[in-house]
Amino acid sequence: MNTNYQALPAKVKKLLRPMADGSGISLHTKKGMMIKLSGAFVLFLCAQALVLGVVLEGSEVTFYRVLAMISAAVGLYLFCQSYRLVFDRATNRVFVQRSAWWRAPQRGDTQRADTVEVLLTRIDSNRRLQVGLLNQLYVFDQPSDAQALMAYLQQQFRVVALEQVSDWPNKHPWQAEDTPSVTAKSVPANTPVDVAQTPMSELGLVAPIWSRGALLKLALPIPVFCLLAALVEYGVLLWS
Amino acid sequence: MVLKVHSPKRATYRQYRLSRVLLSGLGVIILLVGVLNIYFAASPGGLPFWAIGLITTLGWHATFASYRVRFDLDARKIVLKAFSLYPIFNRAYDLNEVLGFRLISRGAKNLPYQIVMVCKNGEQVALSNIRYPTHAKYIAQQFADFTGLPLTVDMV
Repeated sequence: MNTNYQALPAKVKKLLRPMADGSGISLHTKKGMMIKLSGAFVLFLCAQALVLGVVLEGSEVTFYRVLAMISAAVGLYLFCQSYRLVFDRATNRVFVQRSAWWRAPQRGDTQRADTVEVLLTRIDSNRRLQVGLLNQLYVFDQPSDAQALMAYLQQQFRVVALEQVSDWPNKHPWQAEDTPSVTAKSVPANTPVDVAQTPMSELGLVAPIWSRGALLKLALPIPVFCLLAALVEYGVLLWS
Repeated sequence: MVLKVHSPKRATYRQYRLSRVLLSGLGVIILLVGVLNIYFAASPGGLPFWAIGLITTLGWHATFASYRVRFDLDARKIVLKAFSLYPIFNRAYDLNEVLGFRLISRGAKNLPYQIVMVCKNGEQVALSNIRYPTHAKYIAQQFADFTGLPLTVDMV
């Protein structure tokens, strides 16, 4: 598995953003995305208030101008923040970095990268895989993308790579595809090469609660009551 | 819906009593409307028969339909049962064949979170569809605690 950043798949490169000073990489977090989205929403409201503040006349115009000012302030405050999960190369530490345009980046709790568990799991059917670390989940449509991310984090930051695909719900150490390892040499036949393709990992589709047969049975009263109504309507029953 | 623990060995995941009663009350009214429509179907100006059939069925299911999951630790069984005066399905699973529970997002707009039971043969069985993530986690944790099986949260 290639661990060169430039050789990573495009999806993974989009997710792993290099720091401006080259000191590490950063990933988006759920909290950061929510704050950004709510900021964008407030800015969208601000744009409408702005238009109304310009177009309208009379006493309403004051209301919309004040609203535009307040929502612009709140929207910019929210939109300009970023919460990103940073892997620092120099110290080999992981932390959530909060930064904004008006102040220097602040670090949250830091921990050593080689104690961070990165867990590879299946999300559903369709061979989709997800990578979870520090309460963040990243979903990949292509299994190879998830594998590439795991390999990159394992090689660059020596994280604890685990997989839950081959023997759910037990966690096993994850091994990159073509990394020469002791276990791969000792038991070459049994070592799972691609965790997404081992037979154990082929979890079936989720059987829905309301299967087609159950829905058909649920619809059984419809023809029965229709028939009753039709019989009465055409005078076969009751009013004959 | 709520996990009602009857004894340390038996529990049922079913609807809240209050919502069941309220829904049944509404259903009885719709059912009554449907039955009256059937009775007076021959009178002029009545609804077409297919509309009457649909209304009556709606009332019937609102009144009688029910879905529940039964956990029996003595018999080592999980039973999914749905009925509406007549049986709709009754699926029994051996608890020894169950590896654990998963909480997944199923990508649906309505009730997007799903509690899934994973069996040793790779079969995955949906137990419950839930709207809110915190509630889904709470219910799934209750399932896991009651049965003593592991739970993984694979929600996005």
